[in-house]
Amino acid sequence: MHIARELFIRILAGAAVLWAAASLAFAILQLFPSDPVQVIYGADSSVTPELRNAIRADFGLDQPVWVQYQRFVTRIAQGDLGISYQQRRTVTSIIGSELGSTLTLASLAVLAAVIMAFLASLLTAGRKTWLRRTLSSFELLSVSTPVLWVGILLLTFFSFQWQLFPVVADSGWRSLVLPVATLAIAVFGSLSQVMREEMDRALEQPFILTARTRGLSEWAIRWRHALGHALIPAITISTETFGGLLAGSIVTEQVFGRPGLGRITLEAITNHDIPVVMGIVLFVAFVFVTLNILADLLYRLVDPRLRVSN
Amino acid sequence: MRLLTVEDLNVSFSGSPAVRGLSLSVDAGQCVAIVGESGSGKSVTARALVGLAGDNASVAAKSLQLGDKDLLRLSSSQWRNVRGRHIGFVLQDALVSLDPLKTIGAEIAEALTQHVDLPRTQVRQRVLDLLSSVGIPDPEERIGQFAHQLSGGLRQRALIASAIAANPALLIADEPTTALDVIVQAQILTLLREMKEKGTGLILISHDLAVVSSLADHIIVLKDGSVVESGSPEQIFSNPQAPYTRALLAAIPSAATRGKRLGLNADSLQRQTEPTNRKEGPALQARRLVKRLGSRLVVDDVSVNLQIGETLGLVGASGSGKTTLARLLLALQQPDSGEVLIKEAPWSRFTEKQRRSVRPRVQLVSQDPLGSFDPRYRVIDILSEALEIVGLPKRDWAARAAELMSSVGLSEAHLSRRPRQLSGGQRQRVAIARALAMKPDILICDEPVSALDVSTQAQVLDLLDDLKNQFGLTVLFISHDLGVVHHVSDRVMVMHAGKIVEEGSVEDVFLHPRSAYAKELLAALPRIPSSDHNPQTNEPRDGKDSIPLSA
Repeated sequence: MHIARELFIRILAGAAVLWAAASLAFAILQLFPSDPVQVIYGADSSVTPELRNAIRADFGLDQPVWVQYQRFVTRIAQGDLGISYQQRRTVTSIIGSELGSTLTLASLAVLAAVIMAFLASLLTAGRKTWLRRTLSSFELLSVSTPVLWVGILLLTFFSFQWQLFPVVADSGWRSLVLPVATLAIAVFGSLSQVMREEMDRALEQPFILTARTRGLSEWAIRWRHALGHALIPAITISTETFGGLLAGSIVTEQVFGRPGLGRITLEAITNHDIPVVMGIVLFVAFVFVTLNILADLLYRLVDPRLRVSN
Repeated sequence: MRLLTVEDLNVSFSGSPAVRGLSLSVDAGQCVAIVGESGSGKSVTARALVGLAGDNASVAAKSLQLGDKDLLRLSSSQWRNVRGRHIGFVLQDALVSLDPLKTIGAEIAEALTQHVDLPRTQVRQRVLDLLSSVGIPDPEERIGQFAHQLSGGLRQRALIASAIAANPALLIADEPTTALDVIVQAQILTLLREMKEKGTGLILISHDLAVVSSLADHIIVLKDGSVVESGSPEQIFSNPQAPYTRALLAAIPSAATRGKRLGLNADSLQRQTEPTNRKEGPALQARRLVKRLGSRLVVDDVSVNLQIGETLGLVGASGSGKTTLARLLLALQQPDSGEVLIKEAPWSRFTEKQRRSVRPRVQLVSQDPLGSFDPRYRVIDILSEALEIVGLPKRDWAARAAELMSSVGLSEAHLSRRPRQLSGGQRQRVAIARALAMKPDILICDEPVSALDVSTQAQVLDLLDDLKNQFGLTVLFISHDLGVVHHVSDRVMVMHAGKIVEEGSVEDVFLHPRSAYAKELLAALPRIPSSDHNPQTNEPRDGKDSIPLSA
């Protein structure tokens, strides 16, 4: 009952955030207007004023600003993100067609990073072994290397040198390996650092000593008691990065020539295709709001102290 | 039946010895107590006995025999079979001695299934039985609760239940009652006594001789890793041999120690200046304070009358509303109704801006000084912040800070330390120095010595007493420890469930309590068997052989 109310409030707040994001985007576009006619026909085309006006009216640009805003908000509320200037398709369908590819990439990358970080912290937390030193160095390297560079390195060795994986995207799973690895390496670094630190801290707590005095094995102590405490930061980081990857795997998608949201974003911006840019901004805001609500629910699942007790 | 024999146990950490030549033996149904202050090696001993002294510890002994097992020759998997199965271990209740992410039912079940082969269906029933056997009410409800949902007493019981789940013959309890108030402490000690009477061998570790006195059959006093005295309670309490034991006994505040110093180090602090011509009248008054937190009435119609120059003790169990009352008196929180007056000015009705100029005169010393310091500040920064507030010119800060340090018995060398580099007693001295920097009239001390060892506590209490006399301070002394309150107070208020249930002079309240709650509190107070336990009185005050208790 309580959680349902809490959830309802969170969803309302999320809706408010989306509305604010939409309004902000709308306001910015009023400051930097773009002309659909130019986008559609090019800069130096000879379009009759009648046609120009007709096109502008088509997109509702002949109306006063507040009417435009009203229509815009109403449209958004109904899930209609408008029509692309350039492709003459609905923005929803453009995002929809590219989402699958990005979603696959981002999910696999985060999943791989989470699994690696779990293993790394389970194996090395609270210990001073060579493995820990090696992994720490690797994490530091991964955190401080740009994604672009990692991608290029992977391509150079695994595609060009050893020809294990295709250079350019095709539809097979093999074309996914390198992009996923690129992103997973980037995410793994910070995730593993934070999880291990949290686990180190947990392993020094008295309840670990209590568990040891019960005769638990080292592995059981890590698995049953320490790991849970590393989950909270893991949730924070992985949901946040997942959102970030959905919105902006631009570099990776470019390097590996993959379709996806990153690529259409880039295209829309270079072409001044405003409805698409707006649609992506709103979609990304929606993704982050949803992931934040999800993360809050997951925290409660992991940590009973965050559940409201009566 | 002999359970455990320890002969000449030595533990050292990378070369520096922590325990030297300790020997003890425990029979079934017997309790051996190890007593000492922090750093004496008592916890290290306990941990060494379950093979958990740490990776960098080296443990050696002539003999370490548990029944027919030679503990010195166990592999790590054999050790795991000993822990929990043959030796149960109870830690001090800290909120985190139980995994905060697990239900207590899961924690106890874990201890059980680790050693006992039980079908799943019976585990729950066994855990419920264990919960009731350690006196946890409503086990059906409690089994699914988490540590943070339980009181300190219930958590300690849950810890005991998990330690005895696999029915070990020997139980080691490391400070099992330290964080608890007297009534709960008495209940836990009773529970341990019942287990002892049923034949469990017990090793009880504490810094407080009074706590172990009712339970121990044999007492070992540790100092700096060495045994300074070992004997029966009768012998230790009536005829202690080592000066250190005598000092420990003398350090326990009680009725008998009123007006006397607790620590043996008659140091430079003893400038017993006569109280400067004392003024009369109320220093701080509270009229019919009421405070609700949510639906709970935390402070329920409480009036306080603190007279200039007196020490008013406020006793009560944890959760009785003492700290909330202190916050109301400090005007850190506003009462729902009622008011607080300082020297007859309406303190609680002032705006915060009006209060700010008066704030230096009412200072707080809290239980957890570490938490009240910015960890990045050095002691000099901590004091300077206070000196800046009272408007002292910057060029005088260093001199004043040095002066403050010497009034609380620290040296100038401590000024450059950070809080973490100080011991618990030193931190509390810094907290007191910070309060003194404001030149207060009133000191509100909220459990100022509860986190300290008996010996350190003795020094801090002596210090507070000296400062009170020296600066003519008015003190509100909040504590759950009746012995401490009895030692320091002129008048006492007893608080229970948000109400003041009894108020009067120390003699009246402690010798002739009227309320049922005050009687219960007094009955729960652990006492040293002999009535006059203060052997210090037989010692020359400035005896050269007296051993100072180190801070």
